[in-house]
Amino acid sequence: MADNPSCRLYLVTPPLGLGDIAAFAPRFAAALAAGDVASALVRVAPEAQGDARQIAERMVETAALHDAAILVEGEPRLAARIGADGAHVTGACEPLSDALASLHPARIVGVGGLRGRDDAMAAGEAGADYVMFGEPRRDGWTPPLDETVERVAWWAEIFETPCVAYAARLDDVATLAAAGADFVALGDAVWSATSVEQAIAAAGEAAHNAAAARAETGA
Amino acid sequence: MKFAASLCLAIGLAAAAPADAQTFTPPFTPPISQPTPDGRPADIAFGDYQRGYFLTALQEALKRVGENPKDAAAMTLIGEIYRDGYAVPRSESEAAHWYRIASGLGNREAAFALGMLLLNGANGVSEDRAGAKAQFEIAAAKAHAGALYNLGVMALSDKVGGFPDFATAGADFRRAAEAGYGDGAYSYGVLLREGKGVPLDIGESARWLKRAADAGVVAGQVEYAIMLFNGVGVAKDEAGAAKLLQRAAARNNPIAENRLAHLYVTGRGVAKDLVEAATWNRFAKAAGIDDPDLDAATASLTPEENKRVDELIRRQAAF
Repeated sequence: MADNPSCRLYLVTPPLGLGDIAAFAPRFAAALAAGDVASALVRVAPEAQGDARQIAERMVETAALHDAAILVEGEPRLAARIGADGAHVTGACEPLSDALASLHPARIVGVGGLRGRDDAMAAGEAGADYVMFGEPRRDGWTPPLDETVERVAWWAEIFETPCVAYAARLDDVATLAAAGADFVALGDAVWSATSVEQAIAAAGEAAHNAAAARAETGA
Repeated sequence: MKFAASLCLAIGLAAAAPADAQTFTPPFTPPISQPTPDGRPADIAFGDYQRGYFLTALQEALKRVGENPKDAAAMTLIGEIYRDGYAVPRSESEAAHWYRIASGLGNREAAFALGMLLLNGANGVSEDRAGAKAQFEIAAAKAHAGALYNLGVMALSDKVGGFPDFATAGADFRRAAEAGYGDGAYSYGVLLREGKGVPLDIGESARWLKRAADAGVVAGQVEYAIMLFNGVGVAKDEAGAAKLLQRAAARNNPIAENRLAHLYVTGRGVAKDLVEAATWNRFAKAAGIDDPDLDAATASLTPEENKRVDELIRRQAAF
């Protein structure tokens, strides 16, 4: 809506193991420094769950000099213990209510993996700080762009709760921002780019311009 | 399901429908004990239960009761495991046994759960409305929102001298609403608007119906949207009304679908869009609302536009 004209970036790390940290931390820091990154989601590889605390702590330290809010995937209690800014959970029902009970209102709770409109609305009504659309499923399947655009546009029209749209490609950023996303999430699209800094800068500009154009037309 | 409960209540209020167990909300079962905010699990048995290790949870809870015969939380957990048939053969009578002891020790979740079993009756537990009410009263005395709500519904359906007890219902719904229970907010808002059991107060009514709408009570979304649209009890806001109708329509509420179609025809609160109007008219029609005005307004769509209607309907079903 016109009253919410900005669109900022939301970084999603690859699933990390302890061994990845040394190589990944500098790229993560560079990405945070390269543009208007509002938030970053730290993901831990399934086989590295035992090291989740150490991995998340290292990412929080790496981000300390930047303004971005650091969220931990699926681990609300860990997020609280290590002083992260919040958690991102998958599923509108129990995972969300558990996370809200342990983190709200001091910390952020976002939710993805929403299976339908009812799920998404229930999440918004339960008090989630944002809903995410378009992210890859656990098996790697990513919804087509037009589907995500449709969900984002629907949500932006009827809810004040911010929505994060996952962009599988850098080229999708402008389209998602124009549809009304408050944040555009970037994962592989950034980490597989030749230059992480350039990718972030370009995405940030595209998001900003598309949101500004949307605000101007009063969409 | 919440909607069904609310709708039945609305009918109960308007038409004084006969008492019916269907009126009751589906089991409202808050967690037995919350993990502490700093992340430490409240106790091992409950932690096991949450993680789905029901047999371990049962053994741990039985051990705890063995060590402390007054451990009502552990008894309540045993009750849950038997009631739901997790890890052990489902046994409502075994569940009722444990709930009853824990309720006697003052555990409000146990009292509420026992009340629900007695209210509907179950295998090995005979239906006992008076007994259910007594249990809800125990839980309500400790501000259990679901129990308060159910007492309110019972006050309306158990007619004293032939009349629903609106005053008691109003007090119960108010406390349930204040405890953050969406259906309670809806019911209290409706009583305030009708001036039944509570002094008529249209502004307060709007305030509580908004709470219900925000909490996702579909009937509350529809009622509050209509108040917003007409500027009754609250400043007129057609766009705000349209947003709420969108939410209720996305949850298949036929009245919301029909009203939303009208908004798209007239362009009030939304940009005029006959494709959207036809889409929502079709949903409403499928739910049994025939509206010749809407049919006429959307009769002359082009084949292209009709294809888009089909596409919108397909997408609505897909997500």
